[in-house]
Amino acid sequence: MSLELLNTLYVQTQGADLRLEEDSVRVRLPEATARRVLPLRRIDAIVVYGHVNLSTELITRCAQDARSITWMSGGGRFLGRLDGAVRGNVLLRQAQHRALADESVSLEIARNVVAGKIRNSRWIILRTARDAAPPAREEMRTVAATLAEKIDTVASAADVDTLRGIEGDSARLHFAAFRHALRPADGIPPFERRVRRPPTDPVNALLSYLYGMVRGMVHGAAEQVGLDPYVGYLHGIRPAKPGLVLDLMEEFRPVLADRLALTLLNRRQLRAEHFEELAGGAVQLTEDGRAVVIREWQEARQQLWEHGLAGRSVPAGLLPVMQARLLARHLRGDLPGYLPWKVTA
Amino acid sequence: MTTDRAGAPREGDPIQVPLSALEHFAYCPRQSGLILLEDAFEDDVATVRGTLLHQRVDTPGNRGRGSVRTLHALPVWNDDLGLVGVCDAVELHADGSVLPVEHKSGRYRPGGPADLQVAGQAMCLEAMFHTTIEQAAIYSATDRRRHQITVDAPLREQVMNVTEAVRQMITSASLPSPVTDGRCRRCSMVDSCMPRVLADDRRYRQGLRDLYRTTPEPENV
Repeated sequence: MSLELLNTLYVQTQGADLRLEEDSVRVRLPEATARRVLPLRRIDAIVVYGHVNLSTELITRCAQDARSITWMSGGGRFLGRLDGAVRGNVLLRQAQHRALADESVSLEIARNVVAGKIRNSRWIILRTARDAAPPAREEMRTVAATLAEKIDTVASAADVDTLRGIEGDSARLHFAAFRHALRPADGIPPFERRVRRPPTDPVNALLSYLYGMVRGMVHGAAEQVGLDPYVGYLHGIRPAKPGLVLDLMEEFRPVLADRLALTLLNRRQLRAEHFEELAGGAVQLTEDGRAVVIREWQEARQQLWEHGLAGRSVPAGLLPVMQARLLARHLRGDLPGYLPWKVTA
Repeated sequence: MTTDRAGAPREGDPIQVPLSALEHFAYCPRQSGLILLEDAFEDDVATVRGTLLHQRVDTPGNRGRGSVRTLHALPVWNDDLGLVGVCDAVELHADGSVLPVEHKSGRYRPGGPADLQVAGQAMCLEAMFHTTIEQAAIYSATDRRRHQITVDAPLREQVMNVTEAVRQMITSASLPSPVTDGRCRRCSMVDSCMPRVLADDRRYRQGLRDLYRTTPEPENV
């Protein structure tokens, strides 16, 4: 059952009302007489944006079934999450802390996390370069070559700080190539560089939103496997920062988020009118824009990817669970290292 | 090591072993390790069927039927053996005999892991009711019939051996290796166990090395 990909229910209609009705959730939207009833057993997570009401009965039922509920702001910022009782895998959590205290173990996990991310970033760039016009194609291939060199420096990095530096440089390179992959579009300024907190242009707003989606998915995977989402190796431990989730996200960012962002913009599924600028210059998706992203994200979660170790194709939505399991097996001493998912595998 | 039972644990108390672990361990040591050490129980069709079946017998209480009184979902333990668990059904017969009846959704296999579980139940009930129990039963929902089991000396010894093996596993907190055979196909926990990945250590190490090898052209995309 665990490998069955269940659905996430996303609710972003302001004023929507969700209630438990037998073993189903009843969704009532304002100004709509029709109501929808969805069986809970087909839903593995609920994500709500902004002003959405959930009945206490529904919340407690989800807690009981370990079905997560995530609250996001109307604009897509992560607010909080309910996961039910803490899973009892205390030995795994202890192993997580031991690995963090052991510099060599920590370093090896962080090293592989960074290598996995750069590999997947390089793959996306080479893949995208094929469809690009000649000058851009050359630029992108140059970036890909530099990323290959970065992977060598990752292999010999002596500490986590050095790895973080390489990761930062590689990310800048990645987004430099990303700039060339984006086709110009009316009303959407060319992408310059990654800007967060808050994003100040449409492309960054979209990236931030998609990273939120990936983060939610990876966080759920960590919880499901019994890992402490807050004990990371590359990202370490900092209050209110899910270090492990950020670690495990790295390998998925280029493939699941950046690539989808490119597709949505280049296919004009998202256009200037899907973004709005707030006073002060922050840019966010409009409600219509979010609806497009959520729909496409749901699609993308179902897309099958090769997983070399599994020896079969796996829907994107389950890749994080498999990776969290590999990490858990490594931490518990079953596997000699953490092997990130390689998109080329 | 002390037990986590309510009340002050006595010095030297053995670590409590759940009766259900006897069956899991006898089927596959790693499966029982994943459940006890990793809290990793996963449902599949077979386990859900089992859960539904147990809703009928898991309501605590007793029901009478002629000269037999049946106790349902009865908590049982044996502190000397360090066993603890819940009996699906325990029949108290007019002649004073006590009969544990374990309910299983699948087919019954003579001499299989279920025998150990119900024998363990009998050994708990003996201590609790100060009696001797020589018979136990397993009701198979697939066969729709009850299978009688004789709780003899060899079976009792097996119960004690497996109990000790489970206890050692809990004490050492280390997971047994996967069996990687036909059992895995029917196991609901195969995803978290990953027998295939673990079996091919060479391939995994190769994967770790390949992480740092790049090819000049995009690989088969």
